[in-house]
Amino acid sequence: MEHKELAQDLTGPDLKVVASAPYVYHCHHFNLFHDQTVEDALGSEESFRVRSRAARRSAWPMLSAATVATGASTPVERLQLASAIFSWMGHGNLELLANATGGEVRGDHLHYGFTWREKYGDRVRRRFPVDAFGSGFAAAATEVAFGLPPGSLNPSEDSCFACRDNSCNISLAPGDGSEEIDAVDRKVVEAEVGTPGHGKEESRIAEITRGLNGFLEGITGDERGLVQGFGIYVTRHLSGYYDHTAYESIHLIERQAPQAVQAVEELFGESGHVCVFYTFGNLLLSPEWEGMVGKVKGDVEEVVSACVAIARGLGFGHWTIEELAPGQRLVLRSTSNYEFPFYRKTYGKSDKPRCYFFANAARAMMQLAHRVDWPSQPTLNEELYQSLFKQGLQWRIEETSCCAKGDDHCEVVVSKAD
Amino acid sequence: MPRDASGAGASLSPLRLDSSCCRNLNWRCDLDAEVDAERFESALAAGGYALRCRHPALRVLRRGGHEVAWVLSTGRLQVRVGIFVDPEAREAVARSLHAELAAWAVAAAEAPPKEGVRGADTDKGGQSRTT
Repeated sequence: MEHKELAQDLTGPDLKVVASAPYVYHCHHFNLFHDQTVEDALGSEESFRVRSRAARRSAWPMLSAATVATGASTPVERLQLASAIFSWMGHGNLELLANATGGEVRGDHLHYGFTWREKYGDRVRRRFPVDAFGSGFAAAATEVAFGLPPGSLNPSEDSCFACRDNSCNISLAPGDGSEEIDAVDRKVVEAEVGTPGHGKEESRIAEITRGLNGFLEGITGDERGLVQGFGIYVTRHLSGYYDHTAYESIHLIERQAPQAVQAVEELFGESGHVCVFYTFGNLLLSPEWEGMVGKVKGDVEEVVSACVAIARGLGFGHWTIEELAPGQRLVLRSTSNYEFPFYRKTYGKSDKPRCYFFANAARAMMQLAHRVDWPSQPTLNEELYQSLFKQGLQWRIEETSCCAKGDDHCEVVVSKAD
Repeated sequence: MPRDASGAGASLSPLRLDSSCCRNLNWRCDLDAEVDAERFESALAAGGYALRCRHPALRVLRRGGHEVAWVLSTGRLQVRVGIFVDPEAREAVARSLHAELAAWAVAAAEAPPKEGVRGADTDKGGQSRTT
């Protein structure tokens, strides 16, 4: 079996898996924002540790399953498989040169380092390496290749393109092999998600989703390990990485600085704004969308239903429009997303809603639907983002039910702010 | 019509910046209705562009890390400069690619018309194929 065949769409709940590990499409704007939020919450060193640990915890089970599925039996075959999957994911190229006792890993066009320098490099001097995901993935890949338990190798990034070094170099040193991983894989996710619902505009949304899925299936990484679709550079990223880093950060702040919890939760939620603006927005303006669906006219119902279809196509779950009153209110529901299954399996039932991305993405959809002049084909840049989301955001949100709390569906109500 | 300073001719509009996820990556121009789609597509192939996606209303082609996305029904073209190009050099690369496309567009418009002029691709019953 080829590594590309490891990817599957779970069409009912609109989720995606690779070698049984859930994955989603996210662009670098979201990825950098998310990781920066972890760094702001925990500090550079602790955040790198949490992020690389999250990378190992999500990659190790995936790579183990991949080696079984493809029949990769020698360390060389397994390392090559891991590198191929990493590039297919759009994370760049990893040259895995380590062995069972550790060693060096060379990274080229690593997603985080490369895009950090692209986005911020001319304005900000970064001093701390940024490729925690690549580092943790490299550790997991080497552990799986040599049949080692997780935690046997500890990664550190010694040089990073984001820090204006010429290349990214990662070292793997011996660890104690005591990392226990309770994988949140396809089986877990399918047990947690509910029956997909039907909402408004369902047939239009379903048709667009089918088209998107067909298009995305054929997209491959280029020779640099970068993935481009709809004119956007994206990653096929393990959703367990996002979940682990977000929830670990929030729980740590809950324990150590509870007065700061709301601020951190809002920041993780803001990542939903970033994703919808940059990824959904650019997708809607793309030639592919124009060809497959038609030019966006800008009606509120059109934009919101289009966004719901995009969410499904990108593997965010089966979101449905329960209610939409332009200018007033949106009620979005889901029985599947990439947040609550992880939370339920890893932490048990929550005492409060935990779908930060889902809830804030809903708010961002309403902002895009009401405040963007789509027929003028605007440029979705930082200036427009600031004016839409930092100056007079006109919507408030409430996650009125959440599967992380034990409810049978997640629901977010977006309503006009006073 | 003589070429203007932007390098466009009668068959392809001047280049202008399009929305993109990174600075100066995507650029827009529009094919004139007189351009024969089949000839233009052949020119792209002969020029080294490989098809990434074939859809009744859409083509996406790639060469050397750069892409051209083409909406057949409207003539919209998006020139996508590879992200590996230095941001300061992207506009120049886009204009160079555009100049080449403009030459092919002119040739495809000047050639004698073939049957089945530009518009929706009638094959495959509406299915898209990506490669």
